[in-house]
Amino acid sequence: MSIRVGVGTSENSDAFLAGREATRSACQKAQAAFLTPLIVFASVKFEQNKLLQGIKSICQGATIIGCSSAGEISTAGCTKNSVAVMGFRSDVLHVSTGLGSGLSQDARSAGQKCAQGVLRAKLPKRHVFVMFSDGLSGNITEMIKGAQEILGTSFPIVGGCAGDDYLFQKTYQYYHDKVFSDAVVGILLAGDISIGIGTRHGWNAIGKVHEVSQSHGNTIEMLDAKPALNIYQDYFGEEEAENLRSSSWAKIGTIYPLGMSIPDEEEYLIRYPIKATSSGALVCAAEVPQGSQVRLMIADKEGVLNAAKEAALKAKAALNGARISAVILFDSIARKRILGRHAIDEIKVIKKVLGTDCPIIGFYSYGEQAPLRAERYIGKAYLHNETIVVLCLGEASKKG
Amino acid sequence: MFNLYDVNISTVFVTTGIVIVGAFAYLVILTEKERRSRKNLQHSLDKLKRAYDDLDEQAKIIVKKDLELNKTQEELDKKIDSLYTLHKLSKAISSTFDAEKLFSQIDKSFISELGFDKGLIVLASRDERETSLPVAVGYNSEEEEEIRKQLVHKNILNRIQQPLLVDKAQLLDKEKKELLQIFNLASFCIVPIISQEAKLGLIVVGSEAPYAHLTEGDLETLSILAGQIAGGMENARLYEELWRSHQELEQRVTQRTKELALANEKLQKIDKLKSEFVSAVSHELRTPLTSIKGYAAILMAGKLGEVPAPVKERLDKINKHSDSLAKLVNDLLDISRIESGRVEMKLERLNLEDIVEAVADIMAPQMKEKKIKLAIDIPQKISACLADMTQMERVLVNLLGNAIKFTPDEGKISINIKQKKDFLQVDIRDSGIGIAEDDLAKIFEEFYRVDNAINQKVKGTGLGLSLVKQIVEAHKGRIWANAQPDKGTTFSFTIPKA
Repeated sequence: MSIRVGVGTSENSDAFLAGREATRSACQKAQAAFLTPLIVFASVKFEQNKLLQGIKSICQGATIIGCSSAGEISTAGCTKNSVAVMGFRSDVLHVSTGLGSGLSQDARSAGQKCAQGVLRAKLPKRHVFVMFSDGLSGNITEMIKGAQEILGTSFPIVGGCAGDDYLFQKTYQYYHDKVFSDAVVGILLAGDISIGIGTRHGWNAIGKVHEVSQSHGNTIEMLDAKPALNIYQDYFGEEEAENLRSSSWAKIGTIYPLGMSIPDEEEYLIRYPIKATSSGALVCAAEVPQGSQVRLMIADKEGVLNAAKEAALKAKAALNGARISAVILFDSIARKRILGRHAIDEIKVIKKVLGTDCPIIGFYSYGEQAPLRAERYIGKAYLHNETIVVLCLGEASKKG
Repeated sequence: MFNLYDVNISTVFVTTGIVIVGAFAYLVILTEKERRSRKNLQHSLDKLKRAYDDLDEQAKIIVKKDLELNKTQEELDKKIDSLYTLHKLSKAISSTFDAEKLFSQIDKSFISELGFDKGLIVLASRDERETSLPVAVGYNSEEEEEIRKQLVHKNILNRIQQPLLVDKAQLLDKEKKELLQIFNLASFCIVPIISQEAKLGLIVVGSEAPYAHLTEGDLETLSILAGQIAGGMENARLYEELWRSHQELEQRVTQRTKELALANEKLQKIDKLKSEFVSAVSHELRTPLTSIKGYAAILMAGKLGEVPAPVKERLDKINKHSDSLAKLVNDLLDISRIESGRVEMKLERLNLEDIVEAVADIMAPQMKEKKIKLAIDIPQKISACLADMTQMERVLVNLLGNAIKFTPDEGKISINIKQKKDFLQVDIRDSGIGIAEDDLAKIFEEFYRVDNAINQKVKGTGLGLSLVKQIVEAHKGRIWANAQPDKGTTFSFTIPKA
């Protein structure tokens, strides 16, 4: 009864060879000739099909799941223009996978289809559902709701939205040997294992409470009955606010996002404006319901790193002392941007908590999914921004 | 008169009146109280609101300062990192004179350490017709070729005279738009590489991510980098020139050496012929010379009749000239004997220790030059030997010289003299390259040279050891060598006691 895990990466410019190298290296680390399932995160610069072919050339017939990203995370640290592969060899971990396509047309139904897919195998001892979805095409909140309708609202769901190296054009999802876009893929982790989840961002609220007086989907038209962009004009001045209008993913929106207060939750739910429209509406990275209360958020590097530590501690605590076999990170691109060249420090902080030799894979995502902790949310998953989600997979907990 | 009922009625009325008035008064009082408390509440609320607004104003100051700090910090981080990276490069540049090596330093990790995704170095060839890309980080070979073509086609190399910052997010003129399209980046810096004499090319670095806006600080960094590259290339060029002229010189020296070797070979042949000729002629001359002298002596002695004074005078001259001729022939013969190994020994009682020390003294400079340690070990009461001093010196100089030649720098040589029954044994041991077993038997043959690295470098005649052997054997001594490759060589010879 054991779980052996290996992580490999490659920066080879040839997609096939990169896939091959990373998978081979994962096998070597796990001291196994064949690994399944394989979790894969990769840059969009690779020809995606060839990449999967390279991976398959080492582990023929393995379950492959993953997505494109905006930077890859592995035990060794963080890289870009690379591929990271995590593989499992275990007689206690059982998995099933699902696929939901057409996110842009009907996100809810895509979420449902993906969840139905994983239930088909009827695995006992289900622990967590891990989703990798396109973050550019559809309404992710709806997609999560769809999955919840199948799995139950309080079933743990974690995940991340695929990236495309900050191009914000097209992302990919990997499902066995096929590459999809505008889709969601998911994997259910089941068996005699234990799971720990930690979610944190590290931002704090500052200034007044503002009411979302008009919004639809992820666009806030009015805050306090004024054009939403006014909030940035008020706090930072006309010139800085203009950046939100002139360039997409402006820095000011990333460093000072908006936060939705949620009763009994320690942290605010972050929503950051990607850009402002000419009429002064803020287009956010995720849904902001009309009538919600938002505040401007502020953070420093220390706070951001500390949040990563808190998330890791939380995930570790949930394992009840079981040995950690693998760690999967869903890390917001915004955090990477704020930490800049010190992005590696975040991985170091997490390793310090979870153990330096613990196998890690992860990616910089366009949105994170994880359960809220407060009791009234009964562990219901939400879409987060600027957040790090730490998913720890351990051997079965001794305490039960 | 009034009845109870009336009273009662009136009481009721009065009471009611009082109650109403009281209630009214109470209400008035109550309303007043509430009004006051409401006012107080309003007042408190106003106060709270003002405090709230004040806090919000403070929040505005905080976030503005925080943004400022953030920007400065980021710029500072970038500067420190890029300076550190540049420092590493400049160390690498100063340690190479090879332009290719210089460019190989500017690789993917270097570009990303500077904080960019892609990087290009464009060079003009000497005749300015060709353009090469010695560095192309982040582009595949097809993109590289396309960029090269575009650069030539649009004459970019000559058009860029000043450092330039191009950002897709800003309003761009026609030229910048054109550049953006060539390099396929969201934002980039482009700086000419200029040496003291001429423009050598361009360096381009940039980011693909649309949010990663470059700053003047990036442009400064890149300008420093361009300066370093120009300096490195200039060094490489100068070094190549130097190297070329050095090569030319070397070639000439080799040519001359070959010619000299040929001439030398010819001379040696002639020399040998001369020796043989001298040897032969001397022998042929001595016999008739002896006869001439003999007959002259007979005549002079008057055994064949009275010799008149004038004849005697002439005979005397014949005798004298014959003597000097004989001496001349003997000298010539001696030279040829030495050359052919048949040496006349002038044996005398000698103290070998003195000779060893004298020779060691002579050879001291060569040993000093190679930092070789010499150990001389001679027993205190050593017998004298019977030998020709100059020849003994010749033997020791040859053997010690050989030892020095084959001992590496900072090696060791030792000279031991052992007292045996009838002779003294001299051992000269070195820590040099040794001699292969196959060669050991042949080293004393004339003109035999061991084929090794040192012999390939250092010229020798191949006569030294054969001469030594001739001399030792002429002293009735023996000479031999013990050696193993790479473990040093010991030459030993014996010389009879006096």
